Amino acid sequence: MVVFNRLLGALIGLLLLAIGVTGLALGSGALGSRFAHMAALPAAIAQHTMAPTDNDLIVLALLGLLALLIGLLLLRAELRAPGQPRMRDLRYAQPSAEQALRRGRTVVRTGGLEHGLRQSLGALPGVRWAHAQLAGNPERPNLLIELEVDAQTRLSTLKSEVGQAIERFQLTSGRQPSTQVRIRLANTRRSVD
Amino acid sequence: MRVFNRLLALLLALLLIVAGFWALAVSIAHALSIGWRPGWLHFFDQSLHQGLQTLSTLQLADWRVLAAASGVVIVGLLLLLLELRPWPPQIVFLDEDETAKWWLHRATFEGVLRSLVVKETTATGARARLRGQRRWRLRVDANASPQLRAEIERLVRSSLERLGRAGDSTVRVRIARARRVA
Repeated sequence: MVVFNRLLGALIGLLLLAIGVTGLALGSGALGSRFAHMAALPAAIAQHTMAPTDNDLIVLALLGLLALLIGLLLLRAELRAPGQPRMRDLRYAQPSAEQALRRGRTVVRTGGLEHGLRQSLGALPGVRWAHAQLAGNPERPNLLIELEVDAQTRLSTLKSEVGQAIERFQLTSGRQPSTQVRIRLANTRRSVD
Repeated sequence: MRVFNRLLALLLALLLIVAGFWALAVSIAHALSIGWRPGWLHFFDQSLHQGLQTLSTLQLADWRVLAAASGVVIVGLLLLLLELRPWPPQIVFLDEDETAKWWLHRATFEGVLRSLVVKETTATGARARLRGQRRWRLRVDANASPQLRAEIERLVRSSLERLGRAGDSTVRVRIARARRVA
């Protein structure tokens, strides 16, 4: 979405530049004095706007529909949460024929797994705040971890501790996630004696 | 800039929605020959007609048209320059092991370095700039006495060491002489 917004911004800038340069070139007489004495809005367009014909109304309605559609699509894209869609709940196969007969099933909620991981990561030394999000295919989930960490924390120590938390997650869920960890550094707070 | 772009896109979306509704409302009202319109729409229509009439009587050589065109050129150029200049990455690569890929939020590291230099030395106006996605290029500027260069370099190196990036990062410390208070 960042790239799309950037392209959109560049396109708007280019459009404004083209309109402005054309206006200046025509108005200053650089392209001939005939253009400089032209009306800023051609009389034919003004006439159509004041007294629209049936065809004008159809064109206006179609343009309105198009603008509405593009506007709604753009709004939906901008308001959608970034990142991949959240992972579905984990469903486990029946361990025995007896359980299958009883129609029992085991479901582990994604929210529960994320909460457990957040708690586990948040309790690590040096970690001030933790966030975990599971996305993608439940068989091979993508795990995104965001950590806010004291600036004095050594990455090697943090890595081994986060690694243990991920191992616990693997044992609990039985899934091997593809993990990305993003770290925010924060200045160390000084204790008030 | 990312927030500005998002706001710009949201504003454009809202403008398109309002313009679309207006065009549909006007064309349906005309097609069905409905004379009645809400007060605000009537006012909007009148203002639009007045504006269009003014525009159709103004010549392109008029100073108001030229001033508006100059304004549009400036805004367009500014927007284009802001969008096309290279943006620093939001996150930079730290490491990869069997557990995970590790990334660091660039701005937080720059902020920590800035406050570290100011807190631990007598330098003022410290600024840190980290560039490069995988191979880091770190530049630290500060107003200080030249004797502090080694101390500032040591602080920066120790921060990089904590992140395991001291070996493969380029560090440049620029010292500007601190101004004396009269």
